[in-house]
Amino acid sequence: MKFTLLFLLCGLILPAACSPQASVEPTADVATVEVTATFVPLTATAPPPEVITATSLPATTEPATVAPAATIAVTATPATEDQSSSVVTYGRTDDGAYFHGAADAPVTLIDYSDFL
Amino acid sequence: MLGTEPQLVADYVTTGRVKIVFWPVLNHGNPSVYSTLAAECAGQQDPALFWAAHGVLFEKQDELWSADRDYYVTLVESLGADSAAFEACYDGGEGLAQVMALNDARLQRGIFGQPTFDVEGQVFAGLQRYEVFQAAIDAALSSP
Repeated sequence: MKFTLLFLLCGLILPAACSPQASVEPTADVATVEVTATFVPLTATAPPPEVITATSLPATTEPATVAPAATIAVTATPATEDQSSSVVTYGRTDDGAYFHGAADAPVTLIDYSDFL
Repeated sequence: MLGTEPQLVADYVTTGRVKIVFWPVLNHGNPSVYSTLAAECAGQQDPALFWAAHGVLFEKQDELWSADRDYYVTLVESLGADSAAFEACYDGGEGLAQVMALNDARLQRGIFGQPTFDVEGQVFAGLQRYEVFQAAIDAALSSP
C-alpha cells in the first residue's frame, strides 16, 4: 500500500519537475550607428576605426554592382555631353588614382577606402 | 560609399557633374595591399576593369582576408582581364609601387581612417547617407 502510494506520488511529481520551461530568447538589439559628418584625424598608431559596411546601415539602395564595361569609352579626355544618353568614362588622375566620370567634371569626390 | 554610389553615379556622374576618384587606404596589412594591387593591375589593362574589380572586391570583402594570388587571378579573369598581363603586373614591382605611393600620399594628406570622403575639400569620415553627399556636391556645384 505504501509502495503504491509512493509510486503514485512519484508519478505526479516527476512530470511536473521535468516539464519544459518557457524560455525567452533575448532579442539582439540591432545597433544603429550614427556616423557624424565631421573629420576626426587619427594617429597612425591608433587601431583602425570600426569599418561600417553598407549592409549594417538601413540602406535604401542596393549595393553597387559594376559590370565589366567593355563597351564603355575608356579615356581620360573630356566626354562629349550628350543629352540623349549618359556616358561614364574611366581613367586615371595625374596622381595615378582611378576615377570614373567626366575627366573635366566640375566636382571631384575622392573616396579614400580600403577593400577590407 | 557602396550603398549610395549607384544613386550618386546616376544623379551626378552620368550627367558629367561629378568625377569619383578611388584612393586606396591600406590599413589592414597584406590583405589590403594585395586586394588593391589586384584592382590596380586590372586597371592597367583597362580603367573600366579597375571599377569592375572594385565592385567585386567589395562584394567579396569577407573572402579577401584569406585571398591569395590565385584567387585574384581567377577573379580578374572572370571580369575579362588578360591573365598573363595581370600576373606580370601582380608579380612585378611597378604595380605594387604605385599602390604604395598612393597610400603614402593619403597619409601625407592626413587621411588615416577609412572610408574618408573629400568633396572639393570638404572632408567626411565614415560612411555617409546620400543626402550628405548631395548637400556637399550641390554646394560645390553652386559655388563660383
